[in-house]
Amino acid sequence: MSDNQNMPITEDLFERVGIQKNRAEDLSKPALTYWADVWRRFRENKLAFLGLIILVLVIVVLYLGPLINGSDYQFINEIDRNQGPSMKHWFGTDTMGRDLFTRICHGGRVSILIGVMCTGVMFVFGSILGSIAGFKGGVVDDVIMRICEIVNNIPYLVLVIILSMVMGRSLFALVFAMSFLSWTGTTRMVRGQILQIKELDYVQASTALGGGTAHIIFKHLIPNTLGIIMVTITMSVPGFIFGEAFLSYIGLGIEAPATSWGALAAAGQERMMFYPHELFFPCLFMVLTILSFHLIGDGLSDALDPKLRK
Amino acid sequence: MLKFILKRVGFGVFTLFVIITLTFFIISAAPGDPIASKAELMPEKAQEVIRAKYGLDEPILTRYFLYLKNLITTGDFGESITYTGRTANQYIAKNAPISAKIGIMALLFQVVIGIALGMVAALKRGKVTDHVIRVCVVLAICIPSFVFAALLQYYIGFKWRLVPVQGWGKPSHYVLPVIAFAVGGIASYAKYMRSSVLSVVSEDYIVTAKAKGCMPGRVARKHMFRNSLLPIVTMTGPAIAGIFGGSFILEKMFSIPGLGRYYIKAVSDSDYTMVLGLTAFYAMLYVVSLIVVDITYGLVDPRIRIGKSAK
Repeated sequence: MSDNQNMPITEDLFERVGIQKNRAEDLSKPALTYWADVWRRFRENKLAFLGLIILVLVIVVLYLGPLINGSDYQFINEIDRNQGPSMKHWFGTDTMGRDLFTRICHGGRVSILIGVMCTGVMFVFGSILGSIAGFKGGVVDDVIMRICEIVNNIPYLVLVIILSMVMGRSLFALVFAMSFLSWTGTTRMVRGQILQIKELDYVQASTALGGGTAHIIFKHLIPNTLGIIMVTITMSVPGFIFGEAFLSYIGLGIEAPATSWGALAAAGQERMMFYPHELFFPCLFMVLTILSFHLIGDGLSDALDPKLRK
Repeated sequence: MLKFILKRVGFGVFTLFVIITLTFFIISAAPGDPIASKAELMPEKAQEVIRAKYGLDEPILTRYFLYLKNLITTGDFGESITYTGRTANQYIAKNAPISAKIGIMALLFQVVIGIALGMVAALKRGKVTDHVIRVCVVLAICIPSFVFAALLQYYIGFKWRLVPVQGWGKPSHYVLPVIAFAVGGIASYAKYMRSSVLSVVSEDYIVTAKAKGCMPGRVARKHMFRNSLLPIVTMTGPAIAGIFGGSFILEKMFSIPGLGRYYIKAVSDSDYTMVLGLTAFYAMLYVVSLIVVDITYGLVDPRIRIGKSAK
């Protein structure tokens, strides 16, 4: 820096370029697509980038950890019960002598999978219904919005409990119970977006060129609402991870010997007074993951906000 | 305004009907006969008597209409299958007030502290106070309530022995559950209040108020606070319903004999009639509080007073 300042600036360092008529239309900088710009601004946001790094690290640990550690998450060791962290058992063992680290890794896969699957169902249902309502308008819109209102008036948690009580404790049942009524928020949001977008010129142009409803919805409307949807997605994965933890806690979650963070935390909570590590480690992973999703979501919503675009 | 209220109430009643119907049929579709597991060893004749007592020998539609009729005419939510003679009404009368006591206290803390923190964070935007509040809020949102409750029990109750770890009856039993219940709510109220305040700071009326020479404190109180409060009102609706049902997990953790704990117990006992009764009660509370919130919203915000001609 100081070298540059000390360098004498002389006349011969500069050269007259003149007018180059044939290059006037050239772009001096490579064109930045919308998503490239979003990614650039996302990276500049240190907190959000930290969130992304934490999330990637957690996922890497979940999948590679058990390979390095070499323990089996279902192996019951009657002798090494409730042990603290050691070289052999990195996070100690649980009350049946199973290695806690590998259990956390396997449980984490289940927890994140549930979070992602529920969000996926929510997103697909919500955005399709929302686009139809927003695009078609009239009676269709009215019917869909009334259904949304009714569903919104149903106490969510209670219905999740009843559904999972009736359907059993499989992964599919859990995902179904949790995502069954979750799509109303997405529907409303997408509908609002579509109502704004559909009046824009490019949609009218597509209609004029003979594009059908499905074509316009999938080609134009959904891609253009994707930004806001992505923020909702990152913000709702933690919600579903919490939901699964809650269900595990009241005994409606994943069934043993399979496990999840919620189930591990619930089991750890019972023995918290004597073996705090059994609660601490599952919670640490859960908190880190949820924190990273929140940071990413915050960063995305800033990066996608056209008002903040420089 | 009256038309708006009538319309809202009508819609609420319809929703309630949908919820009860849905719950009834979902529970009826459950695999297994609730009597069979209980009375497996009984002779065939005795099983039939029990079935007839609960009306389980009738076709499902008859049962459904009978349940609706009882609910509407006598307010009968149903009787337990697992524990003979106990009715959902007894549980509601006895245990809902306990949940409500804790819930109301927690809700007060949530709203007051949450709104205050959000307001402070927004007014001090970008300063240290704001950052500290935001970090605390993110942490409180990311930590599940049962983990937080466990930490409270471990340190305050078990290590330092300041208040009892769990139990019910003495005033000191309130401390931990109320804190555990309130923390998550404080965080989300603070978060929404902050963004709500920030969204009104640049509104024209704030600029006008400042231009008129309004003192900053008065601008914050009279203009920012009142206008940013609106979105917060919608959040309190479900929360009000939640206080009677209690927090399912926390009541179990702290051994509080509230309604939420019995709900969970009914679920784990597969006590279908009890689950149905308590769900109906819970849904009723939920719908009523949503209606109340909608009407309050109309009162607080003159702009959306539907059905009233503009003056």
